[in-house]
Amino acid sequence: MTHEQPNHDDREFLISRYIDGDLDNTARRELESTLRDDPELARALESYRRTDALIRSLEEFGPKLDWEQFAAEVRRRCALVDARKRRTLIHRVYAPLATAAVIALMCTAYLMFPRELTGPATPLPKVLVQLNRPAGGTNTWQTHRVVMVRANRTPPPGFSDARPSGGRYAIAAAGANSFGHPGETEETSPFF
Amino acid sequence: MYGGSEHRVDDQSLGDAEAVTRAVNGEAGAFDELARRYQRRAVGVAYRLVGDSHAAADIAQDAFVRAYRRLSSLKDPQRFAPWLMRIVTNLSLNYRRSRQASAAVSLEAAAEGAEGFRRASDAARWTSAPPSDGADAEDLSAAIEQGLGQLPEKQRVALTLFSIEGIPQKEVARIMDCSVELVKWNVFQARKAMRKTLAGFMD
Repeated sequence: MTHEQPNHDDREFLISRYIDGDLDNTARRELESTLRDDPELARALESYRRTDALIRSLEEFGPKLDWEQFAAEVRRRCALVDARKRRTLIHRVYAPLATAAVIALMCTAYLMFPRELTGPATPLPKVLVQLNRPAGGTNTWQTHRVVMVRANRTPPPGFSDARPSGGRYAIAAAGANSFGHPGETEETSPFF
Repeated sequence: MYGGSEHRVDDQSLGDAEAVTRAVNGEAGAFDELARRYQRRAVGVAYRLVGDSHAAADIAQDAFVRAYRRLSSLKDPQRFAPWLMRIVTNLSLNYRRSRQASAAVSLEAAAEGAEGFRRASDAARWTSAPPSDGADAEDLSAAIEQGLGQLPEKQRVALTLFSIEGIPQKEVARIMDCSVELVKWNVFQARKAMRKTLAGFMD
């Protein structure tokens, strides 16, 4: 590239900016002074002006479309966007809210009316309770298996609630038949 | 219209801002008003960037729909027009790039590539030319389109938005995501190339 080419480009760039009214007063006066003394540059200015005018004339042209139809299509697609927004709102906000509300309602109802909601209580296993140490002083009974019972602290008629001195309650599933002295045991409703 | 007096620009921007606010507030028809106001310009910009009238119409519609979807995110409603033009420009450039990419994998398409823009221009349906000299106007229009089609992307965008659409350089810089100086340089380079292309129409 020669030294003249950048200068030429620079001058033409100044012309381009001059056309756009982009030069400050000093640069503009300087260029106008140069244009008076440089016919080639003046011709370049004229050529750029005409080029620009031709390009700007393109603004008058454009694709020939049915603009009513175009606007209607934009309207239709915007309506689809609205519908999608509504659906999204339902899926992302209302549905989770409704689910949470139902769960909260169910939890509240369960806490308030547990028996009514869970149905009749599962019958507890019958247990045998030995209230006294077996006669003869020998513990021959053993734990057969552990069962979950609901404690009923009201002793059945004829039974004392007092814990036997030095003795232990023994609880085993009914029918375990592992007591050494069955006569001293009673089969009763769950009670502890 | 970006060109013309500042007063006119302000009036239009205020009108845009009002319509945007109404549209965001859910008023039916407010966005339709904006779409009607800018549909020709949006299609025009897209057309000059992609060179295909059908694609340009699709791109402009996509741009309006995107604008509608994100309207509430527009911080300054007065800037609706440059914002919309930015969407149109980006979609047009994306379309053009994807088209070039698909053309690159097809030898047949590649062979047609050089003439593609010009043929698309010829195929485009145009509004009637000025009544004074219709044939010359069509030739000129075709020549300008052909010249635009041969410009590098940045020069084409800069010239289209600044010289044809009359968008201020500062706005063009925002749309192109570059400096104002670079916009000026691209406009100059584009003018220089177009000056050669249009030499036959100078007399």
